[in-house]
Amino acid sequence: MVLFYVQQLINGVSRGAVYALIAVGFALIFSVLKFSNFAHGGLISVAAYAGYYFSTKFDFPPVIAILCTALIGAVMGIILNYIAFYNLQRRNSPNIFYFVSSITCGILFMNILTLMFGTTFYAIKPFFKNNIIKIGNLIILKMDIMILALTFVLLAALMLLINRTKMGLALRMVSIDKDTAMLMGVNSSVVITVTFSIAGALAGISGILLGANFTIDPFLGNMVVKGFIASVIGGLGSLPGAIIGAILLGVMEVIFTVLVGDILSPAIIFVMTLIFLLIRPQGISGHFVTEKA
Amino acid sequence: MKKKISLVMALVLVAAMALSACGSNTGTGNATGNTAGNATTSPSATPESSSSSSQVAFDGEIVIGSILDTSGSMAAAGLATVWGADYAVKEINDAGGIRGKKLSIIHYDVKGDPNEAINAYNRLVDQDKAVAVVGPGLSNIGIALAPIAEEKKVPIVGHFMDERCTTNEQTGTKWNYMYLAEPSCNQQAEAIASYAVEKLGIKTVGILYDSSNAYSVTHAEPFAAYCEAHGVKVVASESFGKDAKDYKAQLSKIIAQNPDAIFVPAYVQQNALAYVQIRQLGYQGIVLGNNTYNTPFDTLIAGTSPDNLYFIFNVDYSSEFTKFLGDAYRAEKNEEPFINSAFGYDAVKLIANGLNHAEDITSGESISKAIEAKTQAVMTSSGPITINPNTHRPEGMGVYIAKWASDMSKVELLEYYLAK
Repeated sequence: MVLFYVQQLINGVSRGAVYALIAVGFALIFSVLKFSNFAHGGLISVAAYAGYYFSTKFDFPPVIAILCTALIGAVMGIILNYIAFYNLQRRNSPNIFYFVSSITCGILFMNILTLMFGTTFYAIKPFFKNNIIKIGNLIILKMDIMILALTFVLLAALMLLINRTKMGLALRMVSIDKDTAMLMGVNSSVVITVTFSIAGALAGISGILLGANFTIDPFLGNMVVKGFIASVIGGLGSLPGAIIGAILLGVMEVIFTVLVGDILSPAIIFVMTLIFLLIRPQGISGHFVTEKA
Repeated sequence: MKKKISLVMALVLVAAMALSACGSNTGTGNATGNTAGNATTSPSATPESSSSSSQVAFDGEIVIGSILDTSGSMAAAGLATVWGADYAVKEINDAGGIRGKKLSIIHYDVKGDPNEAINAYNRLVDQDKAVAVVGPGLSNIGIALAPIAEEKKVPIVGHFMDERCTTNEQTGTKWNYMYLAEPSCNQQAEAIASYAVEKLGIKTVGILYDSSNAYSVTHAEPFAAYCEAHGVKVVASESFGKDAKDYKAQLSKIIAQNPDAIFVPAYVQQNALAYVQIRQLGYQGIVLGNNTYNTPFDTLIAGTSPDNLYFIFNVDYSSEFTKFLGDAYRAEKNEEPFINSAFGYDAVKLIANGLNHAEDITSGESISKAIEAKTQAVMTSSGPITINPNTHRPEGMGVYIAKWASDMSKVELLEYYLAK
C-alpha cells in the first residue's frame, strides 16, 4: 500500500514536471509584461510539430532536435510579438486588448496547424530506447526525469539572466516601468522582443518534450491552461513560484484522482485553488505582480 | 487611434474564426463540376474518376450533406469520413447517378461541437435543401441531433455507435430519422468481451474509459455488464476527461488490482497514450480495445511492443468488399487507410440505396422510409448491410477481433464475431 502511494507521488511529480515546463515560459512573459499570454499554448503546438520534423522526419539526435525546436520557438515568439502585441505596446492600448490578442493568436496558430496537419495524428520518436527505470516495484520514467531536470536548468538559467546580467537588469526595469526605463536609455522594444524570443524558445522546448511524452495534435498547447493555474498558485510572475505551483498542482491532481476519481477531482482542485487564493492571493512565492490582463 | 487598433484586433479575430471555419465551407456541386464537396480540408475523390469526365447526362442534382468533425480533436477521423463519402458520391455519379440525377454532397465542419452540428444540420435542411445527411461520427453529437432530426424529418446515416443515437432513451422506441451503419457500441463491446472470456480466458479485468465521451462510456458499461454476467470480475473501473493526457494515476490504481486484462475503449490518440502508459507502468498482461486501434495507432505507440493487445476491427481490407477502397486511399494519400474512410463510403451507399427506392426523392420523410424498409443486404465497403427497421441499426453485421503483427507492419484479423 505504501508503495502504491509512493508510485502515485512519483506520478504526481511527473505530471507536475510537464506543467512546470509550460508554466516557466508563461510566467516569464507575465513577470515582464504583466499579462497572461495564452498564445504561449499556440507556440507550444507549433513547436511540437517542428519537433516532430526535426526528431522523427529528419532523424536529428534528441539534443539537436530540442535546440532546433527552441530556435524555431524563439523566432515564432518574435513574430508573435510583432503580430499581436507590438502595436498594443506602442499605443499603450487597454489591458483587455492583450488578453484578446493572445487568445486569438493561440486559436489562430492551432487552427492553422489543423488545416496543415489535421488529417492524422503524429508522435515524436521516443528519446530513450528503454524509458523505464525500475527501483524495486517503483517505476520512474527517464522522460519525466529529463523534463523535470530541464525545467530546473532553464529556471536557473533564467534566474541568472534576470539577476546577473545587463539584459536582466533592463528586463527588470521594463517590468517595473517601461516608460521610465526608456527615459533611462533602455530600448524597451528590444527588451520585450528578447523576452518573447526567450519565452518562445521555452515554448519550443515544451512543445518537443510534450510531443515526445504524449502525442501531437494541434490542440496540445491547450495544456497552457494548467501552466496558468500553476502560475496563479505559485504567484503570478514568479518563476520559482510557477514551478512549485506546477509540481503541487500535478501531485494534487493525482492524489484527488486516486481518492475521489477523475470526474470529481478537477472540481475539488478548482475549489481548493480558489480558497487558497482567498487566503493568500499573492500565491506560494509571495511574489505579487499587478496584472495587466 | 484606438479605433484603428480595434479594427486590427477585429481583423485578427475574424481571420482566426475564418480559419477555424475553413473546414466548414460548403462547396456544393454544380452541373458541370466536381460533385463532391469542395471544402478545402476535404480531399475529393481521385481526379481520374471525376464526374466531369464521365459521359453520363444528368438532369438536375440531388443534394445530400455531411456534418463531421474536420477541424476539432477528431479531425483525422472526420476528414477520412469526408474522403470516403466523396469517393462514394463520385462512384455513384460515374455509374449514372441516381434515377438520372447527379448526387451532390455539401460538407460542414462541426468541430466536435453538438451546437455546431445542430446549426449545420438546420442549415443543410432549410437552406441547402439536403434530403439526407451523412454523419456525425461522434455519439455525443448524434444524441443531440436525434430529436432535431425527428422534427425536421431528414434522415441522418452515421457512425454514432451509442445506441441512444438510434433509440429514444425515454420511450425505448427508435428515433425515426437516425440510422447507424455499423454495429453499435454495445454490440462491439460485447464482441471483444466475449472473445476475452471465451478465447483468452480472463477472470478479472480493469477498465479505463473517457467519462466525457458517450462513445467510450457506452463501450465500458456493456463490456462490464457482459463480463460480470459471465463470471469475470471487474476489479477497477477508472475514467479520464476529454483533454487529459496523463492516465498514470488511474492506471496505477487499476494495475494495483493485478487484473488479467485492461479494457481501454476511447479514441485512437487516447488509446495510444493509455497503451504506452500501461506498458510504461510495467503491466504486461492483456490489453483489450475498441475499433480505434488501427492506423495511426501504430505510429503513435512507436517503440512500444503491441504484444498482448486485442481490439475490434470493422473491415477486412483484403476482402472483395473493401479492397478497392483501401487501394484508392493508399494511392491518393500514400498512407494506410483510416478506417473512417469506409464509414463515409458506407453511409453514402445506404443513402443512395434509400434514394433509389424512395417514392419522392425530394422528401426526407420518404427517403427515410425507404432507408428503413429497403436497406436489405446493401453492398458497402464493410460488406452487405441490413438495417433492422425496429432499431435502425445493422443486423447480422459482425466485427473482427484483431491484433497488430509484432513488427507493427499490419493488422492481423483473428476472428469474425457476429453482433448479437
